[in-house]
Formats: sequence, structure tokens, C-alpha cells
Amino acid sequence: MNAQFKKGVLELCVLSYLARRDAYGYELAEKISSRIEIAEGTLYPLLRKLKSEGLCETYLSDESGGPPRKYYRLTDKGRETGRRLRQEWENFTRNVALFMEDDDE
Amino acid sequence: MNDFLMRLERSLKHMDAQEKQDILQDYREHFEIGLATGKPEEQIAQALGEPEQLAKLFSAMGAAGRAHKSRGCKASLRMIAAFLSCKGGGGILAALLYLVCLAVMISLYAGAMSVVLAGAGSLAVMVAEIVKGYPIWAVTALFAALMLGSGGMLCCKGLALLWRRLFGALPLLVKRMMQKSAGKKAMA
Repeated sequence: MNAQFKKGVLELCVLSYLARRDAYGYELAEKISSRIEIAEGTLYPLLRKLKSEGLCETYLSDESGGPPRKYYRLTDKGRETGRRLRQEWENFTRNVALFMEDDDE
Repeated sequence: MNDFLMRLERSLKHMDAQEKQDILQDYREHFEIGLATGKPEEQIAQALGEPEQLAKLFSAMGAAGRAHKSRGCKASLRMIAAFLSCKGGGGILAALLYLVCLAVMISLYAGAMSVVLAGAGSLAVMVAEIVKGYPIWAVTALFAALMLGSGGMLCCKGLALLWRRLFGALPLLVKRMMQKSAGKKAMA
């Protein structure tokens, strides 16, 4: 798929997933790449960016018994940004779909 | 440390050791969890993508931000080095643009400084004249020299402000460019 599409969409996917539950990097990579073909490694620069922009924060947890995992949790700002992005995305895709079906002219 | 991590470590440039370790740790954890679920190492590495391309994403993110924070010669050099490391993304162009801005600012600054020096120099001469015999022209010229000197100082101050603005805007602009180009390659 077009690389430019993916880049914007990846952020949207991460923010939407984290809005539902906290997650660790590997989990996000698995979930997203099961639906969209991405280079999973690009997730970590993105997560770092989100953290530096104050959209998410991290904590260590080893609830599953194994080695500690770094979990990502959305901040209020991240939640807000996710909502806004989602709205923009929905408007955008709706309008593109309408435009493509528009054969009156 | 596996091949992916070693290549990533080699490619992560322009950042301090702590940041580098943090980044490597994220990927190390990714491998650990993947291996624990029974995935072969090669498959995990392949799904992650090219470590060199990923490193560029990190460099593009970090370098401009840090150069923005620190000032002076070292920061400028680091900035240029970071630009050049992103060849695909107009990095050379950005480095040139940056150098030109730097050169223009330095020459303007030198100009302003020489005005200040000229003011200070003539001020000294006039004071000497006044001490000697108090001629009326020297008093007038004294004021002129004072004006010249303070005018030059104002110019310096203005240039410093302008530079700070440029220094703030340019790295951000280039950072966007670099992220865009690095992102495109890493995703493809």
C-alpha cells in the first residue's frame, strides 16, 4: 500500500488501540500488522514521538510473569488528539468515497 | 545481541548513549516476547523492517530537537551532520541552506560588532581630546560616537533575536522533511 497513507494511519491506529486499553509494543505491532501491512519496527519511533509530545506515557509491568514489559498509556491530551484524528479520518474517507461514487458530472 | 540489534546500534547516530540504550531496549523486548511465543528470530526481524531505515527515523526525530536546545558551534555542526546523514530527504540542501543562513548571520553580526567598536574607538579619542583642551567639536562628536556605539549594540541584539527565531524555525522545518522522507522509506 502507499507509504504516505500508512504513515498517517499508523498513528491513528495506535491512538485508537490505546484509547481502548494500555498495551506494550509487541502487542500493538501484532494487532496492527494483522490488519495492515506495516514494517513493525516503525511503531517504536512513533511511540517515542507520541511520548515526547505528551500524548502517552509509559510504565513497566511484569504481570504475565515473564520479563517486565513497557506499557503505553494514553494521557488526556492523547485521548483528545485521538478523537480529533478519528473525526478527521472519518470525514475524509466519507468524502473521498462520495467523490469516487459521484458520476453525475 | 542479534544481527538486527547490532545493525540498529551501528546505525543510531547523533544521540547520547542513554537514548540509544532506551531505543535498543524497546527492540530487545520485542524480540524477547516474540521468541517466547515461539516465533523464529529471522521472522521477527523481517517483520520489523530494515534497521538502517529505522535508525534514520530516530535520528530525524532526535537530532533537530536537540540541536534546537543547545547552542553554539557544536550544536551547529551536529545539526549539519544530522542533515547530511539523511541524504534522500534533501539533507544536503538543508545543510547548505543552514550554512548559508549561518554565514549571513555571522557577517551581519561582524558588521554590527565593528560599528560598536568604531563607536567605542572614537569615543575614546573624543574623551582624550576633551581632557586635553575641551574643544566644542569634540563634545558634539562624543555624542555622535555614543549614538554610533549604542546603535551597533542594538543591531547586535536584534540579530541575536532574529537568529534565535531562525534557529527555532529551521530545525523544525527540516525535521518534518527528514521524518517524511525517512518514514516513506521505512514503511515501503
